[in-house]
Amino acid sequence: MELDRAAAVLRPRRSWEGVDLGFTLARLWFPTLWLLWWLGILVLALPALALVGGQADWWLVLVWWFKPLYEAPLVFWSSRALFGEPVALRDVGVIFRSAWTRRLLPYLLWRRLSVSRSFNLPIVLLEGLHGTAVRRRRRVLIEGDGTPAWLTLICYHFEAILWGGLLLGLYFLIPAGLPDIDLAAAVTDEQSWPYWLSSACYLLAASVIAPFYICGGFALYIGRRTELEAWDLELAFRQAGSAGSTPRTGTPGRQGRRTGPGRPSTMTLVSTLLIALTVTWPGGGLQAATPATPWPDAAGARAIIAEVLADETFGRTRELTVWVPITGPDEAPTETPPWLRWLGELALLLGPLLKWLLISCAVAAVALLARRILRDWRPETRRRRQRSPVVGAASPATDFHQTPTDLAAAVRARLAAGDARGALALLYRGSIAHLSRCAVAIPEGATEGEVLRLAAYHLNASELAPLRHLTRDWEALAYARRAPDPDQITAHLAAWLRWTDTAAPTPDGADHGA
Amino acid sequence: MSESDTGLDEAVARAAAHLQALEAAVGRALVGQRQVLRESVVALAAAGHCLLEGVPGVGKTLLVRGLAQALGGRFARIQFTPDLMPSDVTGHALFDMKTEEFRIRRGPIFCNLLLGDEINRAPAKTQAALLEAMQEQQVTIEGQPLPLPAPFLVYATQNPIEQEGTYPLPQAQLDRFLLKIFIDYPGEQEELDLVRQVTNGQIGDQLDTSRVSRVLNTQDITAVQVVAARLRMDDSVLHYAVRLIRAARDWQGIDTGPGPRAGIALVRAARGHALAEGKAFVTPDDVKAMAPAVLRHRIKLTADLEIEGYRPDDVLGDLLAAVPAPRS
Repeated sequence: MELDRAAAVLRPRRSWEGVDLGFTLARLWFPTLWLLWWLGILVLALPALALVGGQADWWLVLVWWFKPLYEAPLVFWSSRALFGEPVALRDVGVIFRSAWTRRLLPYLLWRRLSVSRSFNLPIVLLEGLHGTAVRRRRRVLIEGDGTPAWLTLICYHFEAILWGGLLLGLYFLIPAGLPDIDLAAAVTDEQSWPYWLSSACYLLAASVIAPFYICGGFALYIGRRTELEAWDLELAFRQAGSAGSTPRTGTPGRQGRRTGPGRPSTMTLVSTLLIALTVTWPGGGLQAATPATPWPDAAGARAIIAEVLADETFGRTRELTVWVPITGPDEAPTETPPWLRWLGELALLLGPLLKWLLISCAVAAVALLARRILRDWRPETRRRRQRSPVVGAASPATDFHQTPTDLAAAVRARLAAGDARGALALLYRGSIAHLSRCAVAIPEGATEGEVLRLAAYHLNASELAPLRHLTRDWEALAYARRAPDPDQITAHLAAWLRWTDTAAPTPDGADHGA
Repeated sequence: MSESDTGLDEAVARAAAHLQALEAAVGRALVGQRQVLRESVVALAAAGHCLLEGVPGVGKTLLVRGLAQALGGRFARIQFTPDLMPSDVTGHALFDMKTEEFRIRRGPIFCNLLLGDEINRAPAKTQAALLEAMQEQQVTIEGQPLPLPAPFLVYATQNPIEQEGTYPLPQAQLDRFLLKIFIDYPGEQEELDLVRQVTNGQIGDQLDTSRVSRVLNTQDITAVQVVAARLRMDDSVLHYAVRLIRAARDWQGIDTGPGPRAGIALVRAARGHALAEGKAFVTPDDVKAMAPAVLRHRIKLTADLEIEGYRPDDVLGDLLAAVPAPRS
């Protein structure tokens, strides 16, 4: 690995700056990476097709699961290309042999769903570590940085958007007259041709996103190593060491730090770097800057390196925010007034109280919301919920089912007493009670007309006619105060007895007035 | 039965005969849609204005033209458009060069039966001009109040689809309409009869109301409305109507319930329905039959029910089934 020949400037970068570099590299190398990805997938996809026997869903799952297999050659090729040793595509065998190693196995099994795959693959493939060493190395390199996971998430979304876009694009661009794509079948019916088309769109989307994903992760890896191993300093020293020798042409893609012998900037840079090294070298102090002993011996260096690595602040960045009063040079700090101090103490007292109050309110709001959701979840309560009882609603339907034991006798008694309304009401109620006994369900809100319509489903014409006459007379009496003749009520009673076929007393209830 | 009852019965019989003749006459042009026709006639008997809602081509305009043909009196039609001005509806004062005086030019609203086609296409101020006249039964032009001829009935139509560029009527103005009649697609047999009838010897696609004969005049309409207002209504039925209205205010799924005017409208409509049925008294059946048409434009469903696609009629159906009827 020749750092001097790197295709990009090696300097410490922030995580997203690193991803940006990766995407730039992916754009630069896209045709090669894209072809490599397709070569990788063809090796698996064609045998898988025969294996699953035309089941598109299983085929797609297999192809998706083995994604690291097609990404590994991309990592390998990128690592060579970055340091000026690009492998030609005709040497595809070399690429695949180097990429498809035993070390890839965990990423095809239990590490397949790792969200930091793009970052971890270079560690596994390029550093050749095994077992505990690779775990320790991974921990050192990633060190709680969530960027690789975010990169995976973002690329996953881009992949999904591209896939959906391709499918919808095809759907909308199909000319009239040709068979339409069934979008539902394209995602659910694995036996249909739209599903295969959808799978093809997915592979195309994945092939486009994969170079960016891999290069993004690889650039993050390179950035982290540059930071930890001070590649930028090493490069600067190398350039300083070669000062005065043959001028070297800058690498394509390098920007900013291109220096040359004889230029004032070269000397300035070297001086700056030496001073920086002197100041930051642990235990070195100013002696490190003397030309007689510029470097410690190997044992001393190892001790210093161990000391630096052991320091808990090594490799960490800490941000501190402090409040600095803006005062003029002559201004003396003023005494805080007592009321302000009292206010501050009160705020300190009320702060936690307010915090807990807000937390309690939030918990109560969540509980109320959950209760409401649960209540609304039950479909039967969505529509049929009455917040308050219906105003003035007696429950006549309940009364209707309670009739005197001997209804005929009760009707006759009321007729004899001259209570025509009471007699007719009793008779009508008896009719409804009989309908209920005949399994005619009469809701509370049913009016006389609706009762007749319900009865018409269950009674024949001869049974219905007396009920119709009774209802007509009952309505005239109840709503127009027009009482029928007592003879007519007697005739209704006789018809009712024939209908119910019970001269005998009815079984339930006590005598209730109308 | 008292003499007054006998007199009322005779008046009811005459009025009911008029209404049945009217239904029969309009029914010759408007095939099917019996419920719609009945509700339109009820509105006429109850002296209330109607809002007809339905998708294009179900016969809204034909219904009103048929009614106008059968009723006699003066009929006017206003096609509501976004550029319609209030003065286009009510009229305006213009300067007569010959007499050198301002002269009142009365608008189309001065009629007995007004068809307001696609009322939601006009801006709010034009709608307000019409709706104010509906309520007041008079129009004021240049400070001069001009009473509208009696009977004055408005049948406005609106389309439930294609709401872009429309001005939906606010709740307060919807309340002015006694009934909101929903015209749905006809049944299969009715549609077959309709197509057969309309295409048989008909040139072009103009509305054919030639089969509708004139069966009533304005005096008859006024007489019918007087009889409807005199129908007996028992307290239990009145309580039932009020109970329905009050239950609708507290009903789950109804965000804004009907106001007291809804109760008045329900009772008026129930009287009209009883008369159309030939009855001299109102029963709970009449109240229940007219409740959907009276209430569907006076309630506002909650957002969740609207999102789930429920219509006011669904909720009103539940309400009517749950509120106990006065059968005791």
